Amino acid sequence: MLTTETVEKVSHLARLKLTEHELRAFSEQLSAVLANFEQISQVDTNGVAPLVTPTDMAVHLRVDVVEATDGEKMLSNAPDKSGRLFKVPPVV
Amino acid sequence: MDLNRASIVAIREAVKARKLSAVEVTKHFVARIAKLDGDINSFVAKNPKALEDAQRIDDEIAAGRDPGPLAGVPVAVKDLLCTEGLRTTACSKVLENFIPPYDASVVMRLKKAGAIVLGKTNLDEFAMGSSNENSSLGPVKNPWNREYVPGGSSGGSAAALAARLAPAAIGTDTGGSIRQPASFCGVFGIKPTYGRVSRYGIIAFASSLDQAGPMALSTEDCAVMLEAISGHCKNDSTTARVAVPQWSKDLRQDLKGVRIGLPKEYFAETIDPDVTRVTKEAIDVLKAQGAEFVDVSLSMVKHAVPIYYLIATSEASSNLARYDGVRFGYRSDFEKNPVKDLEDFYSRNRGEAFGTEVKRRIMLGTYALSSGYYDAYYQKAGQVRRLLRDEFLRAFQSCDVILSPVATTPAFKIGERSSNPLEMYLNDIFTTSTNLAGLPGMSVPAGFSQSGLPIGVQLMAKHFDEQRIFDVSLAIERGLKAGERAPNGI
Repeated sequence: MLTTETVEKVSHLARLKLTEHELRAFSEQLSAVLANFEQISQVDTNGVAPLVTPTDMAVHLRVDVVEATDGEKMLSNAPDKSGRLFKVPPVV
Repeated sequence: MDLNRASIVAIREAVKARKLSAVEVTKHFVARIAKLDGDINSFVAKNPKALEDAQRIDDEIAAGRDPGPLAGVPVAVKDLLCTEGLRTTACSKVLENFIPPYDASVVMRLKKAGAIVLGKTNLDEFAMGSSNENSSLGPVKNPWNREYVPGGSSGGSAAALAARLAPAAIGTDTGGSIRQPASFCGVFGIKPTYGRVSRYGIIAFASSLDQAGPMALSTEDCAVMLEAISGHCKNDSTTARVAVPQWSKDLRQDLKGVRIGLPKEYFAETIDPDVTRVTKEAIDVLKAQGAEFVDVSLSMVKHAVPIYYLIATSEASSNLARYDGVRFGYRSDFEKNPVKDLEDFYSRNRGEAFGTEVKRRIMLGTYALSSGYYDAYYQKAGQVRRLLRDEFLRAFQSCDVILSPVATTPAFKIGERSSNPLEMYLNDIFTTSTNLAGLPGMSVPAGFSQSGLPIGVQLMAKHFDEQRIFDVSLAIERGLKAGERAPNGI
């Protein structure tokens, strides 16, 4: 059971502002979802390592070289900017 | 040449032989989109430079050069793949004005092969959904019956193909997002082996599950498309360093000696009678081609939905943390309502722009990763995931391909399931396992419901054995001819 208090706490962790309506709806819907998902607790997984990526592959690292980037292009999607800097409202 | 029926191989050959220009082909589909897509809503952006790009292909051919295996083929690209200079939204308000500074590797490879990007197709926001109802740019209607969903999340790509608005499309598949809409819209679609296709430039949902793949109107077209987009990529370290076979050249529909597994657990689910009938028809056709059927057991598949949704949402909660409104994406109006602190800045940007389903999944994933719950949810799901994958690998010791339905039902009505998230998630029972195990999976048109809605069957194979899938797909395609039919009025 996911109470609205728990949902509120998780929304803080996720930095996600929710409306009162969403808090109540998610509490109810996610409780139903998790009640169904509880079934996996019955699977015996003693000594089983979690699988985090599906195929057995070696990690290939590329050479770490700085490549030229177009600063203007990188800034072109900024919600706000000042010269060559991303601009945000004062938060402290 | 009837371009609404032409395969991409036929288009390529005609363009290369200068019997038809790339410009003519592109114009044909641009005109169809303008005429027919208003109601279907499969495209969310058209490429304003499509005709220029087509002209360049024609110029290359005129100059005696070979533009590549997709010469002059217009392709519809899911709006989850970055296209340089062409708005890419993931059908989210977060990215409503986002213009990528670069092409996704898949898009780059399509262009290098001579394809023309026709436009960007609709999807469930950030690929989260199975009905295309969660799009900030409106739902897509199924061309077979406009009251029905096209499936999701690659619903725009599937619907565009069904309405013959493009001869080929790109989709992405995290838990069935290529295969389920392909089934609902009566087209072919393959999710390749994890690591076959580069994820670079594809807006991330769940990185250990996401794969892009082709959707098309035939087996051969899918194979040709996949050949063009596969292969190791220096910008995606999870792409495999394995050779890319020429699947299209090795296609064979004779299935003598091929063993096909039927997983009894899949058929124990409650399945719509039309889906059961069509699946049986596909099995009969394959038997006639010499395939041998064996029973296999995959006991962990009954847990696939919980494992999938715990892992996918956990990865999504981390991947979507980047949308904070600092460097790109939606930012709240802080002139009107001044910001209180940094958390208020992040929370409002995110809370105002993400749609309901995306928020629900970020919440589920954050919960599953949070202190005190990590072991019971995320870690446990990862352990059961290993058991599930190992079971598939064992099953493939006694068969080459596993066949199952794609979904328990044909397409459902718009609005029918959108109020109950759990019901919508359980709909993904047959498709999520291949992503969890990293296996290739394909949806092949096999028949129709009594009411005339398309139904596909799913084929799965060992890692990197797409050839077997294509061979079996070809036998179904030739035997049942279900992929040849187009919706009424198309």
